[in-house]
Amino acid sequence: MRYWTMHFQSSKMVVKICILAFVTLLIFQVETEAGICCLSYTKRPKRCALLKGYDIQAITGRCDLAAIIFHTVKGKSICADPAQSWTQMRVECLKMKAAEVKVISSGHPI
Amino acid sequence: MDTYDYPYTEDYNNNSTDYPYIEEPCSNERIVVIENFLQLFIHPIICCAGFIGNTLVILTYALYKRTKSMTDVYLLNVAIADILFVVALPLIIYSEQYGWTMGNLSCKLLRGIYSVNLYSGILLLACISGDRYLAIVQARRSYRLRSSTLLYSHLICAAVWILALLLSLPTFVFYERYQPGPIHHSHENSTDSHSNDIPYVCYFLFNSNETAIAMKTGVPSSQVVMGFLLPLLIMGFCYSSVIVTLLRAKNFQRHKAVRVVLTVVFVFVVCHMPYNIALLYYTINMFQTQECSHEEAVSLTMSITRSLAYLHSCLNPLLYAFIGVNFRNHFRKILRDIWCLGKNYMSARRSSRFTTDMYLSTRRSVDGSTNDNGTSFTM
Repeated sequence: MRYWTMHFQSSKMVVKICILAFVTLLIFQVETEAGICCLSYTKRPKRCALLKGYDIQAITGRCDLAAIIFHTVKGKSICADPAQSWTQMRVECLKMKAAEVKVISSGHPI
Repeated sequence: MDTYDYPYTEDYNNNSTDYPYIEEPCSNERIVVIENFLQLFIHPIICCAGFIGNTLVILTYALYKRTKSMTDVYLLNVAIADILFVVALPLIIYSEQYGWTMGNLSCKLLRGIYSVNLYSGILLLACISGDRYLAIVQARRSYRLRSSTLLYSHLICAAVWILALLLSLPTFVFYERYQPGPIHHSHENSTDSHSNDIPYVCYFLFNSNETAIAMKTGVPSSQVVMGFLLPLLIMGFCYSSVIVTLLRAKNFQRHKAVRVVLTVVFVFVVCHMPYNIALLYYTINMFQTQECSHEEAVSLTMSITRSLAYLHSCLNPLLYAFIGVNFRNHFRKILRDIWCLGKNYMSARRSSRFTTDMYLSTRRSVDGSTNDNGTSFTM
């Protein structure tokens, strides 16, 4: 019986040491980035004037839903269904806007 | 300017910040906090306990007890699988905390090893139940078979390891180290610097949507079926037959044996059932739209139940090896020898008579134990 208590005491100590080690690890821990995914779609379309860009969320990586993430001029992100026609229209609209910006910033006259 | 805007798609109001129907990407900050807590406080305890327990099992087999029966071979293999699992786990935790700085190979290897040992550990427990079924229910038929060939158990173990490796192949192939986040496409002011500060993750990455759908549903499904349902079915059949046979027998130790069998099955179910239910639920709802709060609840459940499943790998030494009287005697011998060694080392003169006594009593107990039939549930 004494050997059992001895065994448990030693394992207790090891556990304590491990906890201590990981507490120190926690203090120096690098903050993990909050990964974000769209899980549902916006019901109401936004005007193109309120949008400044978009991202594509594919299911090939961490996220499990295909979506277009629009970024508004106010700094919000909006999840949109890529199968909806308005979503595709806004994407086209933003592409045109981007092309305009590119032409203007590169200095060539239209 | 907006040639693509139609009147019917106008916003209801201009004040878009308090628009109630906007669907924003879900943040997983709360999940990350819980995950960090589990990874830094709960998993290290599981790893330490699992490491100590399984090391003792392996040491006992390596130093004092030759693997004589099929059960011994299985128990040793379970201990090896569990120890690899609890060694891989802290490395995964470290890598996740520090953005997988060890590179893509470490991502594939650690995740792969983790998966292999998860499968092999559980499948070997099913083998142990099969072995006990043969030993107790089919006792007469299997007596010659069991005593003559250790080869079968080695072959079965090899088959289990190969099967576990095959089931883990998708993990080896499709896990990649990469920076998460959506594919960046078009911005009006395209001066994006967001790709530099996102930490790397080690996760599935696919080339096409078809493989993504197939693997994202296939891998968890195979984990539920091969890593839980099949072993549960085998254990359920084998152990219920064992219990029926034991209750019919007129052995005074039968109640203890039945209790051990029930404990083994109960602990397996308690540890693995919650996670597998959560995983199944998650997989079924995977490619559908859902509320952020719902997804958060599911992720939280999965994180907590996963820790419960991890706990099983440090309970195995207690449930399978140390519960057997045979194994416990060998283990006591180790502890006594270590004790004696320490005593001798520290104060050789004072303890010489004591250690001789101890040694003699140890010899007696070990000799006594070698005569029993080696089933590992006599308490």
